[in-house]
Amino acid sequence: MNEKCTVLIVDDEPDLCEMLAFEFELKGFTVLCAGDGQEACALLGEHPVRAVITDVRMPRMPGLRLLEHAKGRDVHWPAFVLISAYPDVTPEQAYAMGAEALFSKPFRLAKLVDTVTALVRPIEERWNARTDGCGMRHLQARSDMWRGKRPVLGRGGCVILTEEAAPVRGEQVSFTMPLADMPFPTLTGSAVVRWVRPASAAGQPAACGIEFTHLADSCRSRFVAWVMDNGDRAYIPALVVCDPAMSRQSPCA
Amino acid sequence: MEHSNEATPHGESEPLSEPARLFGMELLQYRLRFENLIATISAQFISVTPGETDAAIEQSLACIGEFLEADRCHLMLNGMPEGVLTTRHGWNRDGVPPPPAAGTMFKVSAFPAWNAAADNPGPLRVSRQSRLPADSPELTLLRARDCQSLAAAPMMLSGRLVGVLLVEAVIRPRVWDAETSALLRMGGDLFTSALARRDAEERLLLMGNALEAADSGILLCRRDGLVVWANPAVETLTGYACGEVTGGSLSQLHERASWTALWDAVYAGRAWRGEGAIRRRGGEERFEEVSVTPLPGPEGRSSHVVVVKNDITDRKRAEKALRESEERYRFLVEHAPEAIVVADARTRRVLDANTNAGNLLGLEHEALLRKGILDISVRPQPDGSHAADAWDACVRRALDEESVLFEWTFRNALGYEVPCEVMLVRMPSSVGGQVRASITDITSRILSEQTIAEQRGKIIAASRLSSLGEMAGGLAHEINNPLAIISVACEQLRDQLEGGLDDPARALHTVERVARNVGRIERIVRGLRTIARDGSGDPFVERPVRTIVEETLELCAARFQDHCIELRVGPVPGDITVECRATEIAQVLLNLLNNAHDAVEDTGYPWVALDVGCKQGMARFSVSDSGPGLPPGTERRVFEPFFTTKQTGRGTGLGLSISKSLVEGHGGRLYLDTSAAKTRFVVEVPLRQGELRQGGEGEEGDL
Repeated sequence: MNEKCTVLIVDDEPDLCEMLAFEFELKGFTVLCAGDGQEACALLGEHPVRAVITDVRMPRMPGLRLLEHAKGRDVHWPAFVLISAYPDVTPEQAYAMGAEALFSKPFRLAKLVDTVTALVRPIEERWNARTDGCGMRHLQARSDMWRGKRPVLGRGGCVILTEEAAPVRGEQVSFTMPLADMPFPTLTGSAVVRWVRPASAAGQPAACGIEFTHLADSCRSRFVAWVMDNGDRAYIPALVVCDPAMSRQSPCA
Repeated sequence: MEHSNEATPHGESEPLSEPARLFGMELLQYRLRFENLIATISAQFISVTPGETDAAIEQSLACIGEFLEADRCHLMLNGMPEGVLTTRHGWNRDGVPPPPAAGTMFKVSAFPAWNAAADNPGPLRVSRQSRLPADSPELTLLRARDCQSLAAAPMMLSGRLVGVLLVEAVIRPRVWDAETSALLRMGGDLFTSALARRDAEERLLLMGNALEAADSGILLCRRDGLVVWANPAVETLTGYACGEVTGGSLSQLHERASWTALWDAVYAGRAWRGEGAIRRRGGEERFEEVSVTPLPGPEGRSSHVVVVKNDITDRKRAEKALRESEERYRFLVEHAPEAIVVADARTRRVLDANTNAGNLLGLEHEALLRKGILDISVRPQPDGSHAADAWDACVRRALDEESVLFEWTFRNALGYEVPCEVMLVRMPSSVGGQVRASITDITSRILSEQTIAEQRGKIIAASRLSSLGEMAGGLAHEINNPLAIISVACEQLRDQLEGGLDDPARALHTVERVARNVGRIERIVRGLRTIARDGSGDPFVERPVRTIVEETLELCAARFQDHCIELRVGPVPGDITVECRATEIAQVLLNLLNNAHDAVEDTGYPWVALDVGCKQGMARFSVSDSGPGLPPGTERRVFEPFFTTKQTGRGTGLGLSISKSLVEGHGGRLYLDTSAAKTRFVVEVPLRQGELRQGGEGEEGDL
């Protein structure tokens, strides 16, 4: 199933590169390895890479610069999995900059493999897996809570303002999101909470960023079509829209 | 010399011849004239007042001179000064010169005959023909008076030679007969009594004047209290005129009720002295010191007493003021915030102390006064000085009118040491040989000084941790990377084991990977231990320079790498060891490297170089960087605490000042090498501490 899928592994730790390469080859991927960002850039230009697994801190070209470079060429492919040894970048930033996944070192290898395996599938297959939303917390997004600004919707998730007790990171939730001015009036399905932001002292309500794991049949195809048309880089938008200037100010810029 | 014991012409009983009858007649006339003369002279002195005495004497001398047909008649008196005869009065016949100046003054002692205090020394008669030794006093007198002959009669009063009456023949020689001597003696006696009376009267007058003029009020009273006489001072003292007081009772001035002791003395005729209040005319109250002295009367009984009064109101008031002033100062001393002790400079005995001194030392006032300074001091003093010598030295300086401030440790009654600051000053010279110590308990000050020292230690620790904090990101990265490798390796190993371990060589390879990465983490943690712990109490231990450098780089290399800063480390000599506190040296190097890192972070193609060498017994580490250099004018200030060129919030400004003190603690130095083109800090640390440290101890010993 992963045949012909090429993953690029970028890390300045040769041990890690080598072990990940072994693992992904074992799972049927074609694997490329790079020791730093510049090397990775070169490989991206030469090979049809479906997913990039990259360290954030690296000599010469750090991971975020690589992400920016790649997503500047194509928002959707390759999918980017960031692996950070230190919180140089917050999840909110990473997803807003276009990364599809973020791992912290040390990480679970099996989970990385699962994530990459899911990410390399075609986008239209991404959200049709059946899940029963039983026992999950339900998040109801309210359009009026945006206070006139448009709701923030990304390529793979959205931001939901929560009045109730905020969910925790990694929690599975079901959600309903009314969308007045979109081709799909509501978005419903299940998701994983990727980041949480508590209510700010300035009066901004608590919010969380969720990554969709399943979308209801009623809205899925129309959302996929919107995603394919939409050139926005953010996979899950930041609460404050992450503009390119801000992304250039990342710690390793 | 012809003495008066030769036969006199008088009293011969032969029948008188005509010449004899004429002689007798002449003699009779002479006698009459003689008697007449004596009567005349006597009469002159009978009614003479003291002021007229001199004139009477002059006149009498003239009478005697004329009578004796002498050329001079002089009176020499003893006194002013005593023992010297001086010519006071004299008569010279017309045409006869007075004696030369040298002859007007003689010492009584030169005339043994008059000087022997004989009951009745005889008169003297001498002429130039006298067969006497040339140096005899008589001839000496004759020559000094420049006369042919002279006769002299001593004037005696109560065995004292008061004067000499002289008659002299100047023009032609003359023999003086016994009649002359007799006349001189009688004249002399008259003069003596006249002079004595004059002196007595003068003395009485003086005494009267003295009493009148005395400041003290003087009253002469009968023993029944009647005032017989009062001097003018009484009026000044009491406001009553002398006339009002005299003839009245003493009770007008001193009431019997309040001056009972005085009155008892007056009635009994005995001496008394005391003081009390009187009321002046008009009611003003004054204080007087009064004495009563009985006047000696016939048969030893006194009929009168002398009352002497002195106003002592001012003295009383001054005493009162002094007493109040003393009370005031006592109050000040008693309630002074510091403990005050007065001690004898020589014996070191405590003479006085205030309440606070008692509180400080835990002793009652009385108990404290039985102590010496050394009894309440720690011996020897904590600085090792001999307590007695140290105290005495301070006392000597205080006695030289210098106030001396020093620290002294007392021991209180419970045996606890009380560190104090003492200000020692000399007491005023009226209470010589005493010093006053004001003592302040400085226990709390010493505690706060200790606290400050502790705070300083904490600041050093904080700065150490702050340099760690600057690297925290790098450290997490450095640890999480090997952890990630280990974690992945574990999962793969489990998969392999579950799958039946078809590739043992690969499994082994994975295990070695794990071991290698565990080693990486270990090294980082060791480096952390080196820098994070407080090494200020560590012994100086020999450590290879290479180890120190490697451990330091282990901590910061990642940070340089992450920020794409090239870290150029020159060759490190492998065989050099430094006797040091490795933690502190590592902290210094780390601080310099971090500073360099921050300085070049935002520049193009940044690099930082660490060079290690060894020169003249010193290990030398230099850190240079590609940065823009220190801003001009800051080179001198970089070692000052809280000076920083970093952005607000990035540096504490303490790193270099602390590093400098750490390096100096090693006997080394940290300096900015201004000769280098790029910013370059140099650390030099002696390879061996031995000699230097011994030197340091020697200095302490001298203190």
